Amino acid sequence: MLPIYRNKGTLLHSLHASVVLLFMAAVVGGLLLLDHPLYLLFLGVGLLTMMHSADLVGESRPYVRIGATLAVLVFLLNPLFNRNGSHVLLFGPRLPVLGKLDITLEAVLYGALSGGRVFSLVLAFGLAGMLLDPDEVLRLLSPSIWRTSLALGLSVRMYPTLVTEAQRMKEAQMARGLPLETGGKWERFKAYLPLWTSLFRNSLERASTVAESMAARGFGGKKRTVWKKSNYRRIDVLWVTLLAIPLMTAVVVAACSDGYSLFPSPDPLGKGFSPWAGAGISLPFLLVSGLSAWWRGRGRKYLL
Amino acid sequence: MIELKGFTYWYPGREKPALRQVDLRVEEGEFVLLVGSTGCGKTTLMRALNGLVPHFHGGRVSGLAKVAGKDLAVSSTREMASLVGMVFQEPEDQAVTTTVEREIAFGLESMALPPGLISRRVEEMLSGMGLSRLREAFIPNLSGGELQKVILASVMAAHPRLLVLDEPTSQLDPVSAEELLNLVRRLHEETGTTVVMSEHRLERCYHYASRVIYLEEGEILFDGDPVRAALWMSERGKPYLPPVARVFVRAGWEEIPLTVVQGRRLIGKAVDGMGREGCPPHPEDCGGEEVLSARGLSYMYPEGKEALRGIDLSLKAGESMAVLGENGAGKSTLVRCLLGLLSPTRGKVRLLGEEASPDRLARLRGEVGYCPQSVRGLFLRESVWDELLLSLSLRGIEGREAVDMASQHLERLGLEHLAARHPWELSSGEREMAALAVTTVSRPRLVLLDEPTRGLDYLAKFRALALLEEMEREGTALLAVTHDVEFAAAVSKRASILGSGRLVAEGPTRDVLRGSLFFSPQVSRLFRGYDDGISTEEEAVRFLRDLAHKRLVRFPRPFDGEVEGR
Repeated sequence: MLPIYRNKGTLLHSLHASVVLLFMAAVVGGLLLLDHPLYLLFLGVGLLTMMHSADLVGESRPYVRIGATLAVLVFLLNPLFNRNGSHVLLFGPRLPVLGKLDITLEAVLYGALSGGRVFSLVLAFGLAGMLLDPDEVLRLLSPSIWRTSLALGLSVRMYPTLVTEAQRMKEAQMARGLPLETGGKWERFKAYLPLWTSLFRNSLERASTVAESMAARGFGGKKRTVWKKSNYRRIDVLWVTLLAIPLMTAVVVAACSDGYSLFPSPDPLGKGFSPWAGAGISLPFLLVSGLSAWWRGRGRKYLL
Repeated sequence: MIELKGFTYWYPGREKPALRQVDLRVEEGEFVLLVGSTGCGKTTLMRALNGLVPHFHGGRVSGLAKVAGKDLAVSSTREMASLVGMVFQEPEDQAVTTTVEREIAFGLESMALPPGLISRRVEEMLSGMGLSRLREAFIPNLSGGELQKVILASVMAAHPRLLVLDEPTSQLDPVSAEELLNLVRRLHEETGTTVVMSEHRLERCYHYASRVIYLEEGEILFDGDPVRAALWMSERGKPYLPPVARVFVRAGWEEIPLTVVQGRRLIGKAVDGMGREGCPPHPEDCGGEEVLSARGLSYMYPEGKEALRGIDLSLKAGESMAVLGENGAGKSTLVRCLLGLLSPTRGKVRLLGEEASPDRLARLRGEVGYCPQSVRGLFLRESVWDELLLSLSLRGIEGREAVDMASQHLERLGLEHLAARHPWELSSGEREMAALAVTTVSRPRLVLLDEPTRGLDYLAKFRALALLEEMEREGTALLAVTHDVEFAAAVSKRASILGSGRLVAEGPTRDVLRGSLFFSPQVSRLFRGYDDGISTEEEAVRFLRDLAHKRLVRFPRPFDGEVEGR
């Protein structure tokens, strides 16, 4: 089950949704635009720091698993298709369509770098999903699509319930003696089919109850007021000024100076690396860690 | 406040009306309790009070229905929402937003109230209902009791003149239920809000009601004050009385108390210094082979929360055990660990002689009956009958034998009329009974039930009890996880109380329950100090009959002392 938003009361969970969005956009932008391994390393480590600060290490495991799987795939497949590079590690056979399967050191390194990038991107999106309140994001994106946002918000809220329910159904049927885990794929598919049908019916019934409860509370009229729009607080201003804008600037500066290439042979690590941009990328994450620790202590009252 | 005249309602596509010629007049400020068997039309009647029937559910109506002066035939549910607040059974299926204060504001936003007024009402509800500390709490993190209080607050924020509650405590542990009902009573007394409530666990709310209405097959058969209702029920053998009243009725006493205080006063007068022999102790060891055991069982969720800590328990063939505890104490997790569906972090579980695991469970092919908390996941076929046959065929019982077993089982549980019905069409109580039938039809050696009495009326509960007692006598071991202390007292010889993942009490049921204030049945509280050994209705009735004979308490009217269906 992929974890979703759950307010854990940490500093990162207390930020305004637009601030989190801006910061994560800077991180994702950096991961997509930059090629220098040190920049990517800083961003990747920064993401792990954020996870720790947001108390999401345990919940992030599924994203780590998915990211790692994709990263390994990219790492393994890239050398097979990438013919560039001057240092051949292994001379392979010539295959139809694919051509000669020579594996180069540069292609292996490029695969590792791309794998790392994919891993970090998965973590970044996972982290954004766990930090952003769906109600807030959808309200923020467009007040005019309120009903759609409500439907999406409900789906997000119901998703864990549905997954738990599917698990419970499977358990109940296993205890009943239904052979769910025996036989080939087709047999298993056939055994699971009534469960999925039942789950679908179940979710429809749940949706109907929610709708009934909403109708009983007056939902469905043309006119509706919005009670409280989230206000920006001191920490949001601080975050944008000290973290988001510097990070975005550093990413832009780094992207402009980044001329690092692995082909035809790897550039030295010093090439295309700006220590200022490097500091600009890594410092915001150190601040995330420091501010979060302060938040857990006495900083909360000063930061809100 | 409410005026129904000849009100009849048919759900879409149904020939038989769900409500039939209902005539009802409720004045402002009354506290009305609706009672009756599961599927008798209580929920439909309540849905009619705010126009959900027919505006949301469709179907046909005839007759007149007016609430707070509004004709329900022409007033939309939205219009009625500001006058009638409704709280449903399942707290989880009512929450719409992600935080408490937003949830309270949701209805007010829908009614297009100005933001300033919404702020005032939200604050009022948060402080008035003791929810201030949860203001920004994340809804999925709340316990069932807290969430139901939030839903009540969100409904009351609209300042409705009529509050309708459909079994609001069915998912709650005794302490949370008590808290919620105290809140309802306070709202009723302090604000004059009219309350209409249906509830199966009458011991929780009967004494709050100013009026009791009994429904049967969509018709109102009785409407009057609680004392007259108790007499009417007792004369007709209807079990819809709180246990304290029921035991006096069954013992044939003239005066019928409605509360523990009244009951104790009556017993006190009759006992008057008289000595009394205690009830015989429950047998502690039934001597059967061990079918389930846990040694040092601990379980930690992947996110690091410790759900169970060092649990030791054992269950032998023919033995029964109830596990009680507040919402979130770890009861369902315990059942899943015992079945092998969750692997313990530490400790060992043995299920029918071997280490418990999903593979072991699959190999047992129905020798273990498991009825989960949410029974919806149990039904895969198109009718209750087909479900029973499926359970039997999974146990290897087919043909004539299966048909005979299924029909006998349905008859025993009084469910013959549901055989051809689709499980999804049943009311929640009927569905719960159908699930019990599906779980037990193949006579498993071990039965694990997770909250088996949710939504069950007294009659259904008696039938379920009778079946489980019979199975126990035949050698089936039973473990029931429940909030229903009356059921626990009646069904089990041993009981445990689980608190924060630990077994904080374990032993013979009456010893465990009498030592608790909230997790004790009403009859135990009734006899505390007179006979601490009493924990079931049968024992209470024996005591009262005995007492009546010794003290020559008069029996003014004939009464067979037995409740219908028992």
